[in-house]
Order: sequence, then C-alpha cells, then structure tokens
Amino acid sequence: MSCTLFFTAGAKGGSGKTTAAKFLITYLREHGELPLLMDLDDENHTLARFFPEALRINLHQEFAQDVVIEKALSGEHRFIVADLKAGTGHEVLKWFLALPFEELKGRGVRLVCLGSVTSAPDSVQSFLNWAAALSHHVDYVVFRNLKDGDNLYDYDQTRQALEFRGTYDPDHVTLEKLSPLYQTELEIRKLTITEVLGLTDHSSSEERIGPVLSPLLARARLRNYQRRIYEQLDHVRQRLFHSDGEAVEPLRGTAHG
Amino acid sequence: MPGKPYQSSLIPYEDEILSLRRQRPPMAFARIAELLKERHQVPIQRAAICKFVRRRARWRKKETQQNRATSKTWNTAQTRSSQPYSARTGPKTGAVLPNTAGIEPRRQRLGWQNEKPASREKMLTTFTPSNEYNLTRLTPEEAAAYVEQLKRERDKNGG
Repeated sequence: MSCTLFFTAGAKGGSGKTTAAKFLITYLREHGELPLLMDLDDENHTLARFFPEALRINLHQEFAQDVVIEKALSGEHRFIVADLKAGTGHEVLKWFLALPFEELKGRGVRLVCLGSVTSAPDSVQSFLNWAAALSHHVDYVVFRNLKDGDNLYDYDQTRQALEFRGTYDPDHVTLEKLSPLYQTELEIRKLTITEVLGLTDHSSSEERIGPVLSPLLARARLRNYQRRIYEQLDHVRQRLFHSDGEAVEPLRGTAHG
Repeated sequence: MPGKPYQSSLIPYEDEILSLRRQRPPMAFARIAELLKERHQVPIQRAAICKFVRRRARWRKKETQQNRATSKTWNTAQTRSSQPYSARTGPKTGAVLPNTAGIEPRRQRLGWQNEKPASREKMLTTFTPSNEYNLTRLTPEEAAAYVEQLKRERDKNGG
C-alpha cells in the first residue's frame, strides 16, 4: 500500500506548523482516514498534547527519525503526519537529504512538505531554507497563516519566494486569524475545533468546556472557520491526488462540514 | 610624519580569521583571540579582531567594485541589484546546499495558478540558504514583472 508522508518544515517557532498539521489531521479523519501521527517535537510535544495517541519520537537518539520512514514503508498507514519542532536544524534536514527519494517513490512513499508562513520574515526565510535543500524531491503545501496580519510581504513580494512558487508550484491554504479568545480557550483546554464541534448545548457540566466555546454561536463561528480551511484542503487534495492520475487512492470519504 | 605607516599585526592571519568568521555559526571574536594566542602566540584583544574584520570587509568591498568596473566581460547594463544574491556572494560556508543527486523531473501537475509548471529540475537560483534574512523585497510592480519573467522562462523551456 502506498503511503503519503506529510511533514512540517521550517525553523521559525510560532509560525503555525503544528496548527497546520492539526487541521490536516482532523480533515483526514473526517474523511475516514486514520493517519499515523508522529510528534518529533521532543521539547514541547505540542501535537501530542492535542492528540495523545501520537507517537513520540526522541530526536536525541541517533537515527531516531528513521522510524518515520520505517512506518511509511510498513504499509500499515496510508497517511502519516510528522510534526517537527521549531528550531529543527541542519541535522534533521541533512537526514532528509540523505533519503533515497527515488527508491522511496518506487516503493509508494510520497513526501509532502507542510510549510507555514506568517508576516514574520523569518518564517519565510526558514521555510525557503528547507525548500532550497529539498527542492523537487517533495511536494509542497504552504499554509498562509494570517494570525499576525494579512500582509505576507516576504512570501508574496520577494524575488526568492516568487521563484519558489513559480518553480515548485506549491499548494496553498490560508489560515485566517482566529479570535484570540477562542484560540486561547482551545490551547488551554487542548482541544481541536473538531472536538469542540462534537459537543452540544446539552453537554453536562463536566463536558462543558467553559463559557466561551460551548455556546451555540461560538461553535457556529468555529464551524465556519474550519469549513473554509477544509474547502481549501479539498482543493489541495484534488491537486495532490487526482490531477495527474499518478497518486494514490483518493480519500475514503467526501463529506465534511 | 616620518616613520613606518601603521599596519595591523593581524594581516598575516587574515584568511584564517575570515574563514572562522564565515563558518556558521561564526566563531566568537573572543574565541578567535584565544586561538591566535594558542596557535601563533599573538596576544590580541577581541575588540581589535572585530575592528580588523570590519575594516577589511570595507576594503574587500572596494576591491570587488574596482574589479567589476575594470572587467571587460561585465555587462554594464546589469546592475548589482539585478544579480541574484547567490551570484553576488556565492553559497555561504556551512550552508546546506540543494541536493542535486539523482535529479529527475517532478511529476507533472496543474501549474501555478493553473498553468503548466516550469521544468521541475530547476533549482532555486535566487535563494541562498542562510540563518539570516537575505530575501530581496520587490515593489508590487517589480513583483508582477518578475512573475511575468518567470512565466516567459517557463514557456521558453517548454513548460
């Protein structure tokens, strides 16, 4: 069975790499997939906080990252989402560069690099560092994270970023700014939007998750927010898996919202 | 004023010092001072090395400009700022360079903005990996023109 390995890239912290991974995971799950989750952030374990079932990888051990490829080759999972920590340096990048890309491709493993850029110049710079090294060996999905502002000047109007976009043809997903009130509640309570939407007005007091997220209108806003992202992921899915007939089987489900 | 003009005692070690500063991360001036003392028995303050490096950088810049001006092959219509960053400076020492081994075209897919993409073998030529910001910001007009240029190149290369 073929496997698509999504991995986050970029050394800048707080640019939304894990947020991007979270949306991708819930999107895949809503389509009936059971992606293997791997948390390679051995400092914060952010992904594992939201998804306790995520496999924690200790990067301090030599060749610890090998397990990612082993899992991909095992054929047990159609999708793997690996979240790398901010500040992931040249060591991990060099490990990526040493991968036998062609052999992996021949064995049905496809790599998709998830980047996240904000209005912070460093987020673009650090992502392009990875893109320049990985070049055409992987596909790219770039999350345009508007949390710090709508103007992503360094991604939209720098020579290098434009060349990256023209050369590697990345897919884009825009993450609109979510109200800080909601964002904080979600972070504190370690909840994804999908989990919040699963709650009802009639939830018991134990299930209620505070004054902000439980009310009907708040959930309606979150549902719309998530739907807009999922619609973009639909488009990404089309491009990644259907445009040239090369890819692997489509996702199992089709409905969401 | 008679007498020998001042010359830095660090001149014989210039290449060594610069190579230590070029590596990523660059070696601290204090550490370089220690190394010079260990290897060459040159007692020197770290501030003096810092001043020396800065002064030499200024000289090198002047020399480069002069060389460019005298070069017969240089296209005078091409300004420095129009040169790719990588062409101006070359890859930095210690930077992770693109992996060019086993290059083959990336799969064909709908192109950027639904147009057929350029050759997938192409590497980023205007970008040099760096831990510091080295992107070239463009005005909206320049950005639009550059996108057009990329499209033309893509078409020229057979998309």
